[in-house]
Amino acid sequence: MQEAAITARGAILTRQRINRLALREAMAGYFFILPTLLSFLVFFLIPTISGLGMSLFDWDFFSEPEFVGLDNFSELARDKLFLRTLKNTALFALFATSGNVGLGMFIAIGINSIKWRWLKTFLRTAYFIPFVISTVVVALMFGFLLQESTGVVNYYLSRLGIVRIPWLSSSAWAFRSIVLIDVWKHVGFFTLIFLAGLQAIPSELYEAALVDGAGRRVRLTRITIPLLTPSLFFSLIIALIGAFQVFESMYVLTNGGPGDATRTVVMLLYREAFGSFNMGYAASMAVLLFFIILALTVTQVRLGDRWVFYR
Amino acid sequence: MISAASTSQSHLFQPLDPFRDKLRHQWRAWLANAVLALPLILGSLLMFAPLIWAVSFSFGQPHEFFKLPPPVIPSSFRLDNYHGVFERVDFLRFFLNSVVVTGCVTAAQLITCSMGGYAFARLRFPGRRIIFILFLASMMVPQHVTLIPVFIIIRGLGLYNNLGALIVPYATSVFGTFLLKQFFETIPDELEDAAKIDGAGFLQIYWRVMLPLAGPPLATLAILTFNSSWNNFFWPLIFINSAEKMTLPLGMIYLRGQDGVTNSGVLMAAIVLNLVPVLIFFMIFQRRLVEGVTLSGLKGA
Repeated sequence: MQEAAITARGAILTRQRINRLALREAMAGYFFILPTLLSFLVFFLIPTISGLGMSLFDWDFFSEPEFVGLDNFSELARDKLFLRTLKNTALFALFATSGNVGLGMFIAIGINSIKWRWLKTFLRTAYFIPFVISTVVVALMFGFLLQESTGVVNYYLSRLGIVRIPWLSSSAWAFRSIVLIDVWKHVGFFTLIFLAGLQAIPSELYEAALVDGAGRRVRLTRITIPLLTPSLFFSLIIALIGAFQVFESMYVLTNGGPGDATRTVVMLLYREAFGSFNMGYAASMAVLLFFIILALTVTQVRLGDRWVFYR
Repeated sequence: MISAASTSQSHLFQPLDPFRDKLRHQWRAWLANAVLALPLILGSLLMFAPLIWAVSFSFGQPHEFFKLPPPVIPSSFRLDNYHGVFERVDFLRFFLNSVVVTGCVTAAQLITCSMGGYAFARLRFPGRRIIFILFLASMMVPQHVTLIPVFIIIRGLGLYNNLGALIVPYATSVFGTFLLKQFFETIPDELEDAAKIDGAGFLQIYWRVMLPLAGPPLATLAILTFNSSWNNFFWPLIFINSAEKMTLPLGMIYLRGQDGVTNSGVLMAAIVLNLVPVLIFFMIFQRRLVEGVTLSGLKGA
């Protein structure tokens, strides 16, 4: 009797039948995950492993690959152009992340403290609109508006008494423009994340603080910001991972220029792989990029324990 | 004297004129709101301004481009620039390609992700946990690591320069599987047991019990997938090399490369043609899109 179970119908199941049912369930399980598993194997696991392997080879796509060990990586460490793109990418990640996350948090706190519902909805929608537009379209549009002599932006700046800015033609400004465009496109996304975090803060906390006579600033620094740290933590991780893979806006707007001022790692990787057919070298860049992202994420998670406030 | 004393007392303990005081209080709250809202409203204008200018310039004539101040409302609504787009490229083809790719990817993900989510949430099979952990870990790896091998696989499958190259690798997603697993785990066992008693197999439980309940997460997944597939640029850039197979984002770059298009009204017209369907999509699904993004925190990659 111990080895049997009773079904809802009251039928007694022997161990043999249980095994048969378990087998059927397992078969069904494999059947249902089959499409996902197959795709995972063909388009992720096998490519990832061979991508890792490829970084150890010298291969031009057409002739036999030649095993070179870690030579690609030591070459990367000496490659001035690669180091330049790495620096560009890191700086972009730093500025775009702080712009997106910082401004997103600021805007979210502002929107959240407005009392009028219709205005809240309007603002949330307005800031989020650019997120649904493709980066290519955004970049093309800004390329037009930011022209130096005939662009709309410079016209209005000159009316304000500011000199025309070489938005895309000077190295320093091209980089800043790319960051600004990235913030324009993504800030609404982070605003949403922070708005969700703000809504999760129980209103009793604010009521209690009011009873204790806490002012606006104290409520902001002692309740709102500490309780937003999980959203902040999450946003920082997401933003950094995305920023390190940036490609499209530079590809469309500046093609890496002027000079190499806006060339990123992925842009160089793309050129090495599909322009010069240095497949092994490009693969080693991807692998290095992966380890950088991994290291940054792990570091953030480690440091997160110290400053993220978990309820 | 007495009256003065009583007045000051009443001032201390209760409002002189409750109605006026309330009004003043409301006025203050209104003002605080307005002061707070003003910079946010100005900021939101910055979000709209580029779109408005794009629309304005798309109707403008070439000589207006150098007219200062640039007109916010064009002097005439001429469609020359729009004709220019269709003269230079097969824009409709780009659009249809985008529709086909995005439609197939979204439909495929709804099926595969709900199947996978159901299995991971409700079925027991050896290796379930480890497979799921591997799935999750894969979300951390940037797609560029897999780029070259996937390129070789796609060529091997004969999908190079074929819309299939943009569909097959995206036919399922770890994120979607995860989203639906989370949802299916919340469905009470009783529903499934009742179906089992009625003699339903797993396929019937999935189809008749689970899917009809999964409307909201499926809608979220559909909208997020639609958006990221519609805007995908990197993949087409690598796998598509002939104009008749291009999707909209790649087609835009192709159009820019045509004679006399760079930074012209024609390009703006094409941008507007891109914006219109996206903004309609946004209007219709705004609420669910916002919900989905908040829920998932997914950066549309």
